[in-house]
Amino acid sequence: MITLIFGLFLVLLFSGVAIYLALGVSAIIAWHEEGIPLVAFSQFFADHLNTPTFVAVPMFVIAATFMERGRISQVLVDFALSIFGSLKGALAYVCIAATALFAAISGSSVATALAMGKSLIPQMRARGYPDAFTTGTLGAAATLGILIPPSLPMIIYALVVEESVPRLFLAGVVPGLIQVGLFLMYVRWRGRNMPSEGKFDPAAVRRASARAIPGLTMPLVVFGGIYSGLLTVNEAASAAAAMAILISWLFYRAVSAGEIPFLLSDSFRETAKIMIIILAALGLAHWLIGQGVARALADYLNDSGLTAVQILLISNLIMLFLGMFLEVISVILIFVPLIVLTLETVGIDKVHFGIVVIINMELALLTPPIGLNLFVLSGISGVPIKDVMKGCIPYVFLMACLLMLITLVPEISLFLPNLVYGT
Amino acid sequence: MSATHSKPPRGPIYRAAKILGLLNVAILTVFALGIVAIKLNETALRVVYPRGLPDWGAEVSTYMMAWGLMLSLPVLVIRGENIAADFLVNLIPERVRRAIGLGEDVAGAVFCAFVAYGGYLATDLAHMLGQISDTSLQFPMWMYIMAVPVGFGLASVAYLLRLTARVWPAIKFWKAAGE
Repeated sequence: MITLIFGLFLVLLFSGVAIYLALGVSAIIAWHEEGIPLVAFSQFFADHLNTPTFVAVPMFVIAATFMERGRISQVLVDFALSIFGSLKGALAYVCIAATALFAAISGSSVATALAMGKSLIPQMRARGYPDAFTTGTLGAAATLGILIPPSLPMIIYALVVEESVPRLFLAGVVPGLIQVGLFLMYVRWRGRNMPSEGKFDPAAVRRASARAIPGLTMPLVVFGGIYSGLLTVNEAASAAAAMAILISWLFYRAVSAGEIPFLLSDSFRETAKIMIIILAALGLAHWLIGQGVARALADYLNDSGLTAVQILLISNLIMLFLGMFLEVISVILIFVPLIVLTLETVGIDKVHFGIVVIINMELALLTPPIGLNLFVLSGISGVPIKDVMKGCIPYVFLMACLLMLITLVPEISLFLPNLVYGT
Repeated sequence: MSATHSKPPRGPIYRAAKILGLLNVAILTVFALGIVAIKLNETALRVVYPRGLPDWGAEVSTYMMAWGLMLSLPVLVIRGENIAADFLVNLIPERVRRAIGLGEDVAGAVFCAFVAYGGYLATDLAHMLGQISDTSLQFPMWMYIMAVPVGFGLASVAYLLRLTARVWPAIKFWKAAGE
């Protein structure tokens, strides 16, 4: 039965039907075959929707949508330019730094790629930066959107493995900063023959900082609020949404009052796209776990004598493979419920594994045929996909090194959460 | 596809679809702003007047989110915006692709109808048992659970409309109303 259901799921998935439908149809047939009444399936959906932590997802999506449509990306670019402008290859530094700042506001990689791409691609082109380098740098830097908190995939992962969202957010900070450092080192080497943007001017830094303050306040409110204990994750997400609406509407005046309802409903739809996959995947995972698949996998891996590191390395290979064909949330929802019991059995920290998953998903955003960032950047720049991919290759290599480092040294991701919350 | 590029006919069906689309936007706006207002109110009360903090904030915001998400489903179907792993689709011949599209619409309509029917049974059961939430609000749970049959029921109708539009291209102006 398991083979049949899994086969049906794969056939539906690869025939290009909506992922939630592939999962949902497989799940409903599996439940029916088990003799579970239809009412229980729908009740399962209603019960899982009734999860207060889910409220953070639409709120962070609203914040990302308004920040993408508002002028925040351009303001962050100006701010970073005032600091890095005197360096050779200045716009490449700006690209990494401003995108990392945007990532601390937005929880979505695609929103980050869209917003920063629209601001930076025309400027980098005008200054003679090669298209492949420009789009590759942007695509790779935009993946920081899901590693540097807040991160939507981290919230989804936390819900699946029943782990604390603030712990996961903290665990993403150090790996995120290492990734920024690696990218900046590459840009320093690659940008040595590229132009600078004039001399360093403290007055320009002050002007750009003043303009950027409303945008830069958002991460302070979100993280300051969560880690001071003043705000729950949901409240921080709602505060981010409120600030994003007000800043893009009243301060930067990039969104009109009439546009707000349409952007809010767009945000709800973006969330619904993810949530419907979550519900259907949980339905199928519930059945698979009931069939003992996760337990059997955990027992098998445990009996096979594999060490925790070997299991992590195998998980990386599986996720890299899945990530080539599925989008981020689907990989988390399909793979993680199966492996979660194994993690507990072999003693892998779920927060550490969460960061390993997220870095794998960053790579998934850049690996064909379903590398969403590749398509987004190719779409807004008109640069052929193969050139965007070519530009991403050095960054993919650096991210693979980061993945190995984080996989083998759990302390890098666990240091901050253990410091704040204890072990 | 060409039908969506030409100016769509502005008949009564188009107008009705347009009004429904705007109604959907208005409801989602109320829910989104409602959630933001509840959460900000909770934060403010916790700081200035903790004893006045209601115990139903998380509950109501979750219900609003659930209804908002469920009401987004039919629009996603009408617009064909659900996420799909479509990397192999371009390798499939056009005729097979069209057949898969028809199959998806049929499967979607049936699946959503099943979930909607199950949701109706769950709503009815909650109503019959008089289930209420365990906060001071004592919210009737059937009003929350009803989001599932309504959302999936409308999504099923949306799949049927999409199916009709495949067979009868003139009806594609439905899509224009959602834009």
